[in-house]
Formats: sequence, C-alpha cells, structure tokens
Amino acid sequence: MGSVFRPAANFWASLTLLMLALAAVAFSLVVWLWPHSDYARRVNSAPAQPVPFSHQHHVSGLGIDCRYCHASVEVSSNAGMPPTYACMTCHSQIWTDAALLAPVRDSLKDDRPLVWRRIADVPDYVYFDHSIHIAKGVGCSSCHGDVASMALTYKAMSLTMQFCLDCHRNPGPRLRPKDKIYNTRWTRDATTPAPELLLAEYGVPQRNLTDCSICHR
Amino acid sequence: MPQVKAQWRSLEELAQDSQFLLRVEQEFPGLAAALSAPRDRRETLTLMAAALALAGAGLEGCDGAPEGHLIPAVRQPPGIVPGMSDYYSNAHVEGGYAAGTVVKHFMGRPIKVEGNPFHPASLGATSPIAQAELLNFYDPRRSWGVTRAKLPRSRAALEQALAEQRAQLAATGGAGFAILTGASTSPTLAAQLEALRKAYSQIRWLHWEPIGRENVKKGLESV
Repeated sequence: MGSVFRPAANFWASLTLLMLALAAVAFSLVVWLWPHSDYARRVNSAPAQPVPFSHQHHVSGLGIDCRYCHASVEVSSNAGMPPTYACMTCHSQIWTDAALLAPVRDSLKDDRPLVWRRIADVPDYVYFDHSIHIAKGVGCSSCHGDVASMALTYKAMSLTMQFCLDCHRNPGPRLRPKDKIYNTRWTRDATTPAPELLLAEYGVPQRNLTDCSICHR
Repeated sequence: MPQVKAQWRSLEELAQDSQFLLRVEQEFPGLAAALSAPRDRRETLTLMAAALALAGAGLEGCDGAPEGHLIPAVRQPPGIVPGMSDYYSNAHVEGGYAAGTVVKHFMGRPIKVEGNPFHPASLGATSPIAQAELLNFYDPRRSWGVTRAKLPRSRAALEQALAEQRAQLAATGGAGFAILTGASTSPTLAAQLEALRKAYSQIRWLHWEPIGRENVKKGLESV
C-alpha cells in the first residue's frame, strides 16, 4: 500500500502552520493598534456641522476671545457652548440674509436649539474639568490644537489616556504664562519662564497627578 | 397558599376603565392576544435571534471614539452655568404644613433635597419623606401642564372646559361635584373653598393624607 501523503505535503503543512501563526499575530496587532490609530480616534476629521462655523474667521480674523462663546471655561468643568442668542448678538446686524446662517436664525425664531456635533470628548468614566486646567496654566491649544487657524473645526489631538498621561507625568514644559492661555498659536520660546518656575508659580501638585482617582472618580 | 392578585401597570388598568382599555388596544393591536398566547421554546429562540441581530446592527460605530452632540440653549437661562450644580429654595408640604427646603440641581435637574437652615421649624433638617420628594420630581405621573386624555391642551381650552362645567354646576347647585385635596393649612385655599361652597350648596370637599397624623391625634385623645 502506497503512502497517503506525498513528500511535498510536508512543505505545505509547514507553510500553512506558519501562515496561520502570522495571521494570528497580524490580527492581534490590528485589534491592539486600531483603537489608538488617528483614524479610529477621528483625529483631523471635521464632521459636518449645522453651520460651517469658522474659528479662523471669528478668532484670528475678528479677534473674538475664546471666552466670549465658551463662557464657563474658567469656572466650570464644562467650557460651555454659545447659546443661539450669543451668535445673534452680531448676526442680527451683519450677514442677516446669509443662507449659511439660516439654521441660526431658525433656531432663535422657532426656539429650537442648534445641535452641534462633538469634536473633543472623553468617555463618561473620565472626569475632566476645564477650569482647573485653565487655572493651572494649561492653554486651550494644548488639547484642542491651533483652533484659531481652523477654517472648519477638527480634532487636533488624540485625547487618549496616553495623551493625558504624557502631560500629567511631566506638566512643566506644557505650562504657559497666564497671558498666553488663550493664544492657540503659542509655543515655548526663549522668553518663556522655565518649567520649574511655572510649576512653582501655579502651584501644580506633582505628587498625585497620575493617581487613578485624579481622572477616574 | 393565597393566590397572587392580578398585577396592574396603571390606575386606569386597575379600574378596568373601558375607554382606557380601548386606547391600549388601538395603540398596541394584538397585544392582549400576544400576552395571553403560550409561547414555546422555538418561538422564544427566534425572537432572541432577532433581538441579537438588531443589537448587532447598532455596534457599527463601536471603535472607542465617543461621538455625541452639543446642544446649547437658545437663550441661556440666567444663573445657569453649564456643568455646575446650583441651589434653589423650595417648600415641602407635609400634612398641610410647609417647611423650607433647599434643592440642589444640576442644570435644572434636581439631585438632592435638604432642609433650609433658615427655616425656624426645621433649622435645616428634613424628614425622610422630604428627602424622598426628589422622586416626585421625576414621577411620570407628575403634572407638567394642562392635559386632557393625556394630550396637551392650551390654557384657553381649560378655561372653556371650566366654563362649561360652571354652567352645569349652576344648574344642579354643585350636586355630584367633589373637590379632592390633601391636608391643607392655607387660609387662602380655605377661603376659596368656602366661597365655592356658598355659591354651590351641594358641593363636597374631600381631603385625604396618605401619611396623616390622625392616628397620633386619636392616640393622644385616648390617653
């Protein structure tokens, strides 16, 4: 009786096993790395909004301060979104017929709020407070990027746990002087006080910034 | 062993209100038949598979990046700071007596009731019933406006309906008409009820307190 498998079967069996092992590794890598990818985190993506609002025009062009619209950023965990009424402060006077602004006018007329799509968000099990970051010298652009030059608002940073920890482990170099908090183009330069000086000035408590309960309460 | 009483989901169902039962039948045709029909294992598995398939369809956006909406107010109510809790003064009525309370709310949603420390009777303390007042705020049966047959109606419609009633009441002198209240110590309400009683002699005023102090009163009297 002849053998069931020919000698070449040894080769194919080894190759199949090798391929299966490689596929398992590749699959694990995809599952592991996918959630951290910029695509999955929606970094650089600008979702369609009810009104194509341009921070570039309003902040860089007209010089409106961040806090005019995000009014509670210094006192609350929530930075706040401008009520329709705030938009209409100016737009009841200028661009009153612009088709692009129809949703804003309708919102005030029908008393129905504008529904914006979120760009930056952290999961519900993460505690985040805007006011303490502002008070301790972390500027808007550290997490939101150079919003003042965004024609359409997009997510500039991954906002993963790794992103938060990078700064919580070594906050000094990211801190900036008080008058630069709302300058989204700010970068550290020769005139910036040393990290140690800023840490001391703001009284940043470094011993517990990476405790679990700081963010997961 | 005592038989378990028939369970009910609403007061109308308990009362076997024929109009209500008719509305349920219109809202969910075939519900009664489905509830009474015996189900077998095969049908249960089919339904479970269908439910799982539906649940799976909702998982497509599950890639770790939360997405939501920001819905700012049209006109910011004064004193509300997004993301911050605040307090307002309120009163809790128990057995007809009101005690001042302070309600903590989160952007308009009450989350805690505490006594008002400036109230001379409580000095900031509350009874368990006052604490449980919080549940009342979220009671689906809580009145939120003028309704008729569970549909919102305008104030004008209410006034019209009341005017019709008034004509009817004047004809009968208030016979068959009753006003239900809890215990009340309000002189204003008492005066209004008295005026009503004068106008319609046959009217009846019934009051009932679920957790009243009648037994305490009776006990003290029997001592």
